[in-house]
Amino acid sequence: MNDEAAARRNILWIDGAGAWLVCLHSPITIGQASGESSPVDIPLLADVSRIHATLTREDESWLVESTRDMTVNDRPTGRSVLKTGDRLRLGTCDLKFSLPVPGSLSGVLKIENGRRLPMAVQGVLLMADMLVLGTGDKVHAPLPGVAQPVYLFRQKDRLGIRWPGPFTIDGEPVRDRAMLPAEGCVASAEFSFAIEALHRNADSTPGRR
Amino acid sequence: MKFTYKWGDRPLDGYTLKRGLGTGGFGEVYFALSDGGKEVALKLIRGSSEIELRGIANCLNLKHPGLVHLYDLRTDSHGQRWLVMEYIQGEPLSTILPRHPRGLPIDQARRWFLQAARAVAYLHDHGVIHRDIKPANMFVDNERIKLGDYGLSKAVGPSSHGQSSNVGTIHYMAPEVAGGAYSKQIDIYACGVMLYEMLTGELPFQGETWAEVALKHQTDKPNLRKVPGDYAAIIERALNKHADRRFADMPAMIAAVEEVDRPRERGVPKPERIGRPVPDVAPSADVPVVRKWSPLAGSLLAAPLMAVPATAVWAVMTGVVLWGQLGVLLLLMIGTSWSVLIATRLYEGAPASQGRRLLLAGCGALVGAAGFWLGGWSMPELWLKDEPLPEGLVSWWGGTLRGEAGSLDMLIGYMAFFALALWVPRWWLSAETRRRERFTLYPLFATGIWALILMGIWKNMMAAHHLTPPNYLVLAVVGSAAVVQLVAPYIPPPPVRPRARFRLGERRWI
Repeated sequence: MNDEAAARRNILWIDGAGAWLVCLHSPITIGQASGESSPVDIPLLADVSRIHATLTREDESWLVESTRDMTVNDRPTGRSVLKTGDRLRLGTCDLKFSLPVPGSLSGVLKIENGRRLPMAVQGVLLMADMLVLGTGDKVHAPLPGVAQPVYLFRQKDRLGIRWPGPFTIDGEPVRDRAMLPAEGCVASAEFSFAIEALHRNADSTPGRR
Repeated sequence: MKFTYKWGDRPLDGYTLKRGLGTGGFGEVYFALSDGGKEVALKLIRGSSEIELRGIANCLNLKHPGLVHLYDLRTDSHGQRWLVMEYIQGEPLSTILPRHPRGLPIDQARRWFLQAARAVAYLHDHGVIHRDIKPANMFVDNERIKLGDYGLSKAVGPSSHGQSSNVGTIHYMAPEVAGGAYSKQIDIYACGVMLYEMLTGELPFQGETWAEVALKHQTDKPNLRKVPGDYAAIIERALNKHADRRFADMPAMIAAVEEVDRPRERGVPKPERIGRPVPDVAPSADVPVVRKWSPLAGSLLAAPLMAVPATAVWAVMTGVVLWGQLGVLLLLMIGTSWSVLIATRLYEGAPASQGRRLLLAGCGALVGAAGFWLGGWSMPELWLKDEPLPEGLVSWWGGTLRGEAGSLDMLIGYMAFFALALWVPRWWLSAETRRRERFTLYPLFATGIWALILMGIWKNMMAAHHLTPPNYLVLAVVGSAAVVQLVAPYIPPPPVRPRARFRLGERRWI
């Protein structure tokens, strides 16, 4: 298992459920997707500026700031503390912010109006301390068919996973708690997903590994 | 959900798998990126004969905005066949429908149905029978329906159905499929089932087991009372047990659905139909008069029967049996209940409007007048002759109206009491066919408190005249709240879709 640090941005490919862009480090920038040289964390295929807005994680909340055209809940603003359910509009792109898990500062950003990211993801997970994958509403991303939710947590510069039961990481059996490689597949009898590190210059996810 | 391949695998040259999308009767479907960055869905086709592959090959070059595009049919180094398809990020209709347990908003259902139906018509026009039309094969991509899984469905048939794996499909299967008959008619039947499901949120034929559902397709008639009136005839025809009595072809069915809203386009508004729960019996010309009014007649007849025990309960509770008073109470309860039942029926399924409240208030005024008369008062009469007033009578408004002292104040009080008692609370919520629960105590408390408030105000105002309105009027109101719930027809809300079906739909992505 490699000990590489987790990338700043990753894609979580969940079999049978969806894919998510996971951003690990605040501040998180949002702007126009411009192919290989996109400088932002969340690139949008929408009519927005190159760097349109910035999300910053504070002690107990997320702050969105923009010097461009931005509205939060239809009110033009340059700076706003985000609450769950807030609707952001950046240029032509509508986004919805939520904090689905009580007590967790990890947020979820979904695109509402048919615009999209260059990669085929359901939305963006803004990871604070941990991510909850499971069934129901109070999860960051759905993971169908699990009785117990899967927790992804952060330890130093790496990601770890906690789930009661046996599972494999890149084919190696582990149980209950393990550290994740920078890239790899996690599978159990109930679920399977993969983490892919996204590096700059690779907004359209690489065809070859 | 178990997938053979995992993220990063490249079973087919030129494509990198990223995640599994679903598994189904025909194999597994993956999301993959081509080396150039194109997003595709890759379907691994297992166990297909050459004839079936020829069916797919036939469809490879069909193009229609309502079809999921097929890009290519490839063979990997192990000789496995892969169908390269358009990847659609949107959800299948089978995961959207459970979020609308009472059916999609009617305009959306119509729009999506027509989009899907045109894609089916296009397939038929090109000699392809889909054979597996169902919401799990419809994908919503930016508010447009795209039909998938065509050209693949040769294997669909009773013989290939396990008890569990394909249970989602049997719900859409025409009766003649059991006999091995495949024609365009089975697609028309499936479209009828889907239209029913989109409009009502329910399947027309449901059952615990595969066999039970199959039997219902053979024998049962769909319950069309849940379908908005204009669509009932279309669904009835599409779901006919005899293939030759259904629509002749998809264009005929499309034309019939398009025809439904023609009147609106000509300017006759039907706002009550948009985005509202479908009423049990839609107030529409298509519904026979008997079916529209017979539930009302039944509940009107039942109301007096239920009012008797309600009155008796009060008599027992108070321990006083004044037959005259009990009779009045009974009649007022009947009058109030009838007002609510009639007003609710007339406006059932209609949007909130002041019309219903005004009707209720009007009925209330009439009930109040009756209560005044039943309470032993005589009506003030018009008195236009220039004669002296008889002993004991007083006159109002310059002598045009005369009656017993205080009787006019009392009449106005009675009428206002019942008018307000019926006008303010939302009585119809207790009488609607599709109320949440058949009987709850909440309306009794709500109307009771409101009636007590009215009674308090009324008594205060009458104190100057040394008159006291009778307390049992409050009871007439509360009793009606109970009677109405007991006699009004009731259809329980549909049960929440079981999770299993939900997941099944998702799984059968292909």
